[in-house]
Amino acid sequence: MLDTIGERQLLDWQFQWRRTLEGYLRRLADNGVTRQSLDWPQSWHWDWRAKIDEVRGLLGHTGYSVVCRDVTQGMMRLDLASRMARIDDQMGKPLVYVDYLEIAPWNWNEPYADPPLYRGIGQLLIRTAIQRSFDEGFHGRVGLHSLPQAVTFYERCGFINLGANPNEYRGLLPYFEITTDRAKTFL
Amino acid sequence: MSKKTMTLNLTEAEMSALEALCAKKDLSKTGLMRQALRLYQMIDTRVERGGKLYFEDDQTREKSEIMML
Repeated sequence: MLDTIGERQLLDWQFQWRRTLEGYLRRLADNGVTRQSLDWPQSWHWDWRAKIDEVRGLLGHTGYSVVCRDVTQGMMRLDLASRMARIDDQMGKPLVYVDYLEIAPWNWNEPYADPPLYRGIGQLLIRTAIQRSFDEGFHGRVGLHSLPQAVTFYERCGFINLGANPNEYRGLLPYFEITTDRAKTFL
Repeated sequence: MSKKTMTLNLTEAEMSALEALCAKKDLSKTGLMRQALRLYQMIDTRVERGGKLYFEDDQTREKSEIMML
């Protein structure tokens, strides 16, 4: 686990993740899966270089990456400053907000994809976000908006689904939050 | 990560506000100052890039701009 997303990670994304993703999207298209389908990966358009450039030098943002056999297997961007907890018991208190979390396409466990090369990368990143929350004095509180395809994953991690707000992300992304007790259980 | 220590001189009122915010946000004084710095830097950077900072009333949708001078 690296406590940064560096140039090497961005090159892995640019040349390895995207090549695998393109192959996977072609396979989906060959099987009649369209961009509107629920099986189409909802993060397919994410541009990690732009996401990192956007917050470069800002103290309130940080990134983590998982590297295995010299290749980046997952990345996560965190916001440590501008989001507050929403669950009643911890309302208004600071938390670690997961801006973006993605694993390398060859680790996806999805229809028409090859079996994942590595499992547990997403959980490892969530564990890191929770640990960072404890380290910051935020008592394990973590929040995020989930892509619909990832809802089950965050529920399995112990996050509470607070539903979608029509004023955020066009009402398409449900908001999830984990409490201190649940965070401890997860760790 | 190496850390630096500094002494902060605050008035009684400023210290009271700091302690009240620490209690409200469940943070140490160091944690609160760190959050304040992160937020201030983020806002300053966004405003320098041409962004504007608004508060919006949840009910009326009325917006009031915070002027960063």
